[in-house]
Amino acid sequence: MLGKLGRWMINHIKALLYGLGFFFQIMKATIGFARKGQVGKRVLTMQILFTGVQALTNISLIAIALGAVIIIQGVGILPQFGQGDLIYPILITIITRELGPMLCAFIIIARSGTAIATEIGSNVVNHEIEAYIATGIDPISYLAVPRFIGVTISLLLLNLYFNFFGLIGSYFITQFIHPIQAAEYFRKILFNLHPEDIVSSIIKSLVFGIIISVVSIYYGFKVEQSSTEIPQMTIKAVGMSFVLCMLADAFIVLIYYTLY
Amino acid sequence: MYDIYLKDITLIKNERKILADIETHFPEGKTTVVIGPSGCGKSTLLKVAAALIPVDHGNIFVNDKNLRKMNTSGLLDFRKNSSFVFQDAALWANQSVYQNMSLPLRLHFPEMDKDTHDNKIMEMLDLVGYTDSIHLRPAALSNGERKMVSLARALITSPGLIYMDNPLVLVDPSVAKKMRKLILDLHNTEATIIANFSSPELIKQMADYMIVIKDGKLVEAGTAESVQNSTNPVTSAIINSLLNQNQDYI
Repeated sequence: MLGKLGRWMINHIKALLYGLGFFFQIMKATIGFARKGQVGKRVLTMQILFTGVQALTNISLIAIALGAVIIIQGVGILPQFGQGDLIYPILITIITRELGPMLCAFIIIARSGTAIATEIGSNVVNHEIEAYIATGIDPISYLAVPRFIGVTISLLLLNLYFNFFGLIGSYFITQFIHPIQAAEYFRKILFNLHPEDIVSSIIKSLVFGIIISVVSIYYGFKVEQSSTEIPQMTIKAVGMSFVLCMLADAFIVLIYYTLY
Repeated sequence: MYDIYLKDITLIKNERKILADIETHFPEGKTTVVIGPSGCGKSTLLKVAAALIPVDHGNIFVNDKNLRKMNTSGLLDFRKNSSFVFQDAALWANQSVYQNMSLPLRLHFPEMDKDTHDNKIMEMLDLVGYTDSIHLRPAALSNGERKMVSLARALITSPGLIYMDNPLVLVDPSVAKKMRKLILDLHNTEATIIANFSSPELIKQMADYMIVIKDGKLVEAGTAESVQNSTNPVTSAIINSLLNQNQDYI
């Protein structure tokens, strides 16, 4: 029993150290990627197109819908307590600080995280990784780094879009139920939007982008021989990305409330 | 010109020794064919010799330089001058035939102008007899076409060291005939070739040296003639089952 527990602990510590080593290898290669003219720039462009541009419609619709829900609920409840203006800090807290980065992260996990783990897993099974190595191309520099940079940048941009559409969308919904002047709405939004809200949102989207890309790439490379391993590793990548994003979110919120 | 020497190579996977204490030499400018029963570790040995798989123990020396201790530029130079023909083509699925051919050129010859680059690609594809639809992706090609493009990709940088892992396996006879001719032509160049062939004809025509392995262990190594005339019972059995067949299989 003790022996089993010991082996379990050792295996998990080994996996953690291996994962950290993998992360630092990607970081090191990212510095090299930025410094040198790499053949992986096309991969980076494609990754930003897939993750950042093609997800735009989903993100916009979700942001508008979320803004609408907050406004409808808030306008219905808050004035009853004489706190109608609380809708603005609530909008900012939910859209900018909390759900914006988190929902963007969930969408990216579902779209790009799964795609990355599956694609790299297929590359391993079809010996394409070995073909890259044989050609002299470092798979980390060519496959991992562009995906890492692409997903992180895309998540940051999508989060900005989410904020934009969420706050704009909520204004248009307001017009149906409680018409308000555009100048007044945006003045109150800007009044309640503090630099720390923006910084917190940006930090979260960057951290989530790093987590999703590294975890997906890591599990993609963990596929060894069989195509049946690909869905297994993809599921693990999705689960681990969700867990780590939630933990990171809680950690960042804790720091936020400690500082402000 | 490349001279490869493997010293005490051991590779363990899932607590099983895939390769055990292999020590052998692949002489420069010669063709060395690795033979042995199915599943004995021939492909793995080739991949280890090409430094595609990390080993648990041992070293690979390329012209007396330890490949495991080589710096990045030395390793890149080795990759530039070597190539690997995979058993299952291993073309990059998300890239077109043109891009598959272009990537090694862009990496190793960044100064090459576009016309020379494109001419080189067409020349190589012409050599293997595939010039149609170079913008198709590998999934749209037949197995034989994929093998041909894979061979063309391996030869595009004019490597001095070529690894071939059963390139003729699972191709139809007409493609196999064409590939066999191209491979035989390579034998007349100065390139060092390390191969795993299952075609008895190709082994007989190509092998200058032979390495016999069984269960991941080196049984015998030497000139093709000495191995074929070996009195070692294991070697004799393998030679008999592989080379003395009436029918050539691919």
